[in-house]
Amino acid sequence: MKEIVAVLAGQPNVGKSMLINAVSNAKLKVGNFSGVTVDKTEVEFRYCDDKSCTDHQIHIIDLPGAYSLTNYTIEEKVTKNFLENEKYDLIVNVVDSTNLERNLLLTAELLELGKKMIVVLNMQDEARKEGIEIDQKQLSKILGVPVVKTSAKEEEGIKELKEAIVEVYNKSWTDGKIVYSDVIEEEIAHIERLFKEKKYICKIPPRHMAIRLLQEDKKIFQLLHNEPIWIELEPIIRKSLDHIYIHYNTKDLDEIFDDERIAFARGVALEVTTYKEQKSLTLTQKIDNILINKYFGIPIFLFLMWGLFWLTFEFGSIPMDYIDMFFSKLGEWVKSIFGDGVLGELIADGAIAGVGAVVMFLPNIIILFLGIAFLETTGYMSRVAFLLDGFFHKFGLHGKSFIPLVTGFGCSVPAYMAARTLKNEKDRLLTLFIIGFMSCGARLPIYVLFTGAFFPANQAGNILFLIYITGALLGLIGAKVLNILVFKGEDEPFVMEMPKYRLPSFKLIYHTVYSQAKSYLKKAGTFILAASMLVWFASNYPKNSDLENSYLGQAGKVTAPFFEPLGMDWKMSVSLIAGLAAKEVVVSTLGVLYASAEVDENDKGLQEQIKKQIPFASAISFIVFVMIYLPCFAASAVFAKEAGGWKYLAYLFFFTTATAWSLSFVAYHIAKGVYGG
Amino acid sequence: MDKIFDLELGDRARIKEIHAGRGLKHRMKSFGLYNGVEFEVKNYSIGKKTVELQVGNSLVALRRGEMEKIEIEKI
Repeated sequence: MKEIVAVLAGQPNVGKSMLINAVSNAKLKVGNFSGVTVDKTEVEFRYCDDKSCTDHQIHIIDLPGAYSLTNYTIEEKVTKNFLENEKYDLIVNVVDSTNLERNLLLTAELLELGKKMIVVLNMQDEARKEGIEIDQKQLSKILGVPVVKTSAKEEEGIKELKEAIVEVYNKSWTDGKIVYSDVIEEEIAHIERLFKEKKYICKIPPRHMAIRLLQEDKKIFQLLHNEPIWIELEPIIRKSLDHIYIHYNTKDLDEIFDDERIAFARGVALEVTTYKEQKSLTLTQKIDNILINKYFGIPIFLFLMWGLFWLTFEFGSIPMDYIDMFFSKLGEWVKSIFGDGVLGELIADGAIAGVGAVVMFLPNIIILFLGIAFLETTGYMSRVAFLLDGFFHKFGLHGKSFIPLVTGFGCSVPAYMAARTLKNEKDRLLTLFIIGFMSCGARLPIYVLFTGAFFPANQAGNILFLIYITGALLGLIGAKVLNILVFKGEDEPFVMEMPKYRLPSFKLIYHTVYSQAKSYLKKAGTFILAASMLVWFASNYPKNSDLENSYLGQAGKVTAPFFEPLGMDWKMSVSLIAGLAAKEVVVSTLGVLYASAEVDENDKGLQEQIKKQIPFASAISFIVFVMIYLPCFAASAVFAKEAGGWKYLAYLFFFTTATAWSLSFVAYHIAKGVYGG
Repeated sequence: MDKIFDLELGDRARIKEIHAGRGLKHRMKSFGLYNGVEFEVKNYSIGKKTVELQVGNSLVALRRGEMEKIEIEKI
């Protein structure tokens, strides 16, 4: 059995993911490219070639969408590095049939790689609807590679594609080529002629080698530099380059070859495309006229977001209660088997309670990601960036930052994951760093407890609103500061495709949501399991000690001097430290330390105790600290994964702690000055 | 020198020159924006901060900063 490794390359929004689903019948393996958080989708399947009756194991790797082979975005960098440095047998270049000219720009770059290749004219169903006809045979003749027409949505042309993969694999060479202008073709011919005259043999075809020499490709220069042919080759290359420089009136070879590819793509598209009918206004334009209208665009967007978050946090809370109940019962059952000893408590109060706390958020995550996947696959997400970029750009953020930031008001875990929609690393990191400023749902009980204790009931709602708004404003200011001091440099240009609106594929949405949910459970779940067992240990040991003398209590006393300038005693510092595990723990810890009883945020006894024992200025300082400091363990673990490493978590810890401390210090002294200690 | 934000909705124009560095120029080219290309203004956001252009059969969005770098002539 022969094994074929094919890579799927194409521009974004050409239906690659749908095609790989159709080819594999949705048996996808989703992972990451090494060292980056860019999804790597792979499929493997057996295919029996009818002609030779040979079984083939076909392995397809879906490369991230790239407009061209540059290092502009992480995705493009990954694609470029993979195509240039990894081992594979052939490239399957997926092209949007309704947008041939622009897609051929990437095809031209791929042809220059000199690898075996197939061009797939995908989205034939849409092309038919738009009256676009492409001459498949003529295109194949010009490009020198097989061309297959497919519609991944309708599952058309899939068998032909599999046949073409086997056929191209069995060829020992590629005829794929891009035809340049006469000036460049003439110089390629000069160099090729020398290779033939000198009978120079190399793995790389002479034409391809000549092109790369004219592009001053360092690798090829190094390869040939120590070869005997170099003595005669070098003056020819110099002469050829001089000729090209004079003709184009520039020495910028990148620009020269860019223009050559553009001319090639325009010429080819013109030659092979026929437009049967021209529609005056497409459906996409009609929808855009409403959805990104200057006046209606933002209200429509806010309504859609409200709907999504309502579904996420209201609808998602229904299964949450059942999950919570299930884990509580499971804990009780475990205790009934293992007893109230160390093992029983470790499993029930440590492991099960910790894992339960993570699994509990799964319904929210599934609903939110269903919504985000829906918005992305329909093409609406790009419109969000279009609408909001003007405002967010003032703070160094991208229009798409809005989604993760608003999600942060519910829970930081899905918010960090939602930042994946930002393709530029700087934009993504900046957004990730300020998500924590959007107060998550778990902080709400703390705010309710303190506003209830220190403010009249008729003002509590306004104070809560003020807390949330202040957090969001601080986040935007934080973004601006980070943009100036840390993520320096010129702003990333905003040149973005507005994809056509498309009905989402159920299969694609299912796989996106399934892989996100699986990744959440795997990463956050394993981490929180270890962390919650650690917190359980720290709050229960040394054995037979109360919370004050436990390791957690001792940690609180050790850190007390750090919190003292903020007007906080050791009990408040223990609560804040416990809150690093989960913000919900802050209220229960305060309950144990101040009221010596099991309490919730509405417990009047605890509110009375807090009001009695904590000065007003210290309470304000405490609220400010809670608003800003590091999110819970689960969220921190997800942050580290999404940001690209634990070092970023260290930076986040420093950034949030320094900001929280400074602002709490200021808030404490202002409150003390105005209202007294 | 005419710029994209000088155009009204539905106006058509041609790119005369892109005054940008190599990276941005290459990026614009890969989206089909290069000298001689004709386009139509489809939508603006509030304050003309961003624009949606129809270039060939695709829609491309640009920020005002990028609009500044493109010299155009109205058709």
